[in-house]
Amino acid sequence: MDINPAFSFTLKGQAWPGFVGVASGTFGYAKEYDGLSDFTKIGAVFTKAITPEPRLGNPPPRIVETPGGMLNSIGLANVGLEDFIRDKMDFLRRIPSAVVVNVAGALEEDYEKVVDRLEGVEGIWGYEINISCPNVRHGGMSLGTDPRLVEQITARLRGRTTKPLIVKLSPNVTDIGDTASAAQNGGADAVSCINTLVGMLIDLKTKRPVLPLNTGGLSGPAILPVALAAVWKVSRRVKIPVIGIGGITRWEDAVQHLLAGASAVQVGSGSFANPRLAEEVHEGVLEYARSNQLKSLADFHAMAD
Amino acid sequence: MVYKKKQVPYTRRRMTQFDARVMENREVAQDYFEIFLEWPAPARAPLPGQLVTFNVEKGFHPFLRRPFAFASYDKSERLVSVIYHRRGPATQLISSLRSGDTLDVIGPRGFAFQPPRDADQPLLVGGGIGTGPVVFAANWLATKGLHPRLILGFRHQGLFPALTLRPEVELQVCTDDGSLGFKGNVRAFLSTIQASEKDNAFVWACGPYPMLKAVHEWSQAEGLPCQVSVEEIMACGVGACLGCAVETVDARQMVRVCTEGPVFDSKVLKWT
Ligand SMILES: Cc1cc2nc3c(=O)[nH]c(=O)nc-3n(C[C@H](O)[C@H](O)[C@H](O)COP(=O)(O)OP(=O)(O)OC[C@H]3O[C@@H](n4cnc5c(N)ncnc54)[C@H](O)[C@@H]3O)c2cc1C
Ligand SMILES: Cc1cc2nc3c(=O)[nH]c(=O)nc-3n(C[C@H](O)[C@H](O)[C@H](O)COP(=O)(O)O)c2cc1C
Ligand code: FES
Repeated sequence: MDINPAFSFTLKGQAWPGFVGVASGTFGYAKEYDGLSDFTKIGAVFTKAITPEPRLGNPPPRIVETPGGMLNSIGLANVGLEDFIRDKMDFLRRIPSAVVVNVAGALEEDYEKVVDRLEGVEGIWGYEINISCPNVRHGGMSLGTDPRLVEQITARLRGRTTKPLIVKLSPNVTDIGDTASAAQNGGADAVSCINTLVGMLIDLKTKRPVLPLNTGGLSGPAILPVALAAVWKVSRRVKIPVIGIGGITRWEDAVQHLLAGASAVQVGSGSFANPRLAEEVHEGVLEYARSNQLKSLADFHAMAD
Repeated sequence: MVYKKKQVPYTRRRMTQFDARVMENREVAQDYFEIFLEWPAPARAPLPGQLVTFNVEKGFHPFLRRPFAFASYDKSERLVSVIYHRRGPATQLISSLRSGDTLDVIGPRGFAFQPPRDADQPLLVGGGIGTGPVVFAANWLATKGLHPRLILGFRHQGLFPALTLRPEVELQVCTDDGSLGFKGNVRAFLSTIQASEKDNAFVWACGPYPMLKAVHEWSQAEGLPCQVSVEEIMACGVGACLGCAVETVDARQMVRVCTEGPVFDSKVLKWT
């Protein structure tokens, strides 16, 4: 594997083998894509959200296709912290991709529990904090909607790990720049931008929303422009690196994320149709960089202003 | 510095995603088609009940892959087929494919029907888009020396597809309007089966939810083992997204249709 350091996303001196991650919840625990994807070209695997206890998630149906994308209502379904360590880490340690654990919980203490326990586990590059999940203490509202809470949770976790700490921003807020700067103030090393948008579809026959919990998270090509605007805004508000997520289904979309200000990208629901999307994005962006004399990821940023 | 130094190679399984060549695509009933795909040697052989997903469109509409059940596998000709209903954007596009075109496939995936050890009289029940997998199962069981009874239900004669069945398979068609075969649905037909014909029987079913539920309840009442192939909307089709999870009788457990299924012992599922 030839890793070009200029095209390796690096935090705290720890580099990914590349700059294209696969987004949380869209790649399971990576093993599901064994034999379908080439992990040597996947910079990082972001795991499904991990909570202290196993979670079943939401009732079915959980998916519905939308114009140019999909809504999901998976919830925080996951195997739980202990099973994750016991059953899923072995494969994750064997692939070259960096392993980023997406951390979630219903209470602030849940996040702490997950991070504390994983600190002792080998093979984890860093953490991505999912602040979009409903929080029990705050009336089911997510931490991600209140910059004060975002700063608090980030600071609490910052105190517990020296590994890269990424805060994953929710687009369902008035000003995503405010939450980004709160994450920076709390000590985050980077922000990833964006999680899914709240959306709904209604069934003409039943005259009810299609998803049992009425709304779900919108992802896919439909959200690319929203994600780009968010990356643009956030990368101008904070000094820490931004990881662009949202709507990437071709390498050209990833180039736009990088030009907007992202230092790395994640591909999400695009992998469902095309399990080799991350590799194709990796190759396509490198080719674009070559033909445009861009010598590093940072070179993309000079172009946009 | 790359944080992982030691790299133990991970496994690479057999070819599971490839561009399959369309060999034939023909209308077999009103708005029902059977598509035949070349199935190269490195690809795994499909079993009845297993699924394949098609990425029909590289663009955005439809965005997701679509799952289908195998309807046949011919090892010597290296051919598989799928019987599908043209009902929306993806199946519309599939129906427009011509021989020589290619289709991006992932498969076979999922858990197939499992022949029970202590029963040898297959009662296979299907209908509508559930026809393909039970037809495959019938022909497959016939090659194992069994004499499957294949009970297929349709609304009317025009929906009954042209099928290739081995001589060991005994076909019973049911139509709601009586235009072909037994008049009534498959559940009504099951009531007419003689006790002697239920000896050593096992039930495999695939079709619309109300039909599966009725077949499950009948099998329970008759004390017959029953496996059903169920449907749920899929995003990844490989076990990663948890989108296809359905509820089980154990409230602490859900199962993924694409991975633990699509075939389940009907007693495991929560019927609503
Ligand atoms: C395990 C399994 C096996 C199947 N086997 C067959 C088969 O052998 N023959 C056949 O004709 N059909 C089969 N289907 C159903 C098939 O997937 C749908 O008919 C197809 O997705 C319709 O797509 P469309 O774009 O034409 O229609 P749309 O208008 O997009 O959808 C029509 C209906 O198809 C289903 N559907 C749509 N998208 C998906 C998806 N991503 N995943 C699952 N279901 C979806 C939904 O019920 C939807 O209401 C199977 C489904 C599953 C889950
Ligand atoms: C099925 C599904 C499950 C997801 N689960 C999570 C999750 O557990 N944690 C999280 O932070 N984001 C989750 N996401 C959001 C994605 O990681 C990503 O931010 C979003 O889908 C936007 O990217 P995309 O348009 O490329 O899909 C999920 C998305 C999908 C489609
Ligand atoms: S469709 Fe993704 S887990 Fe089954």
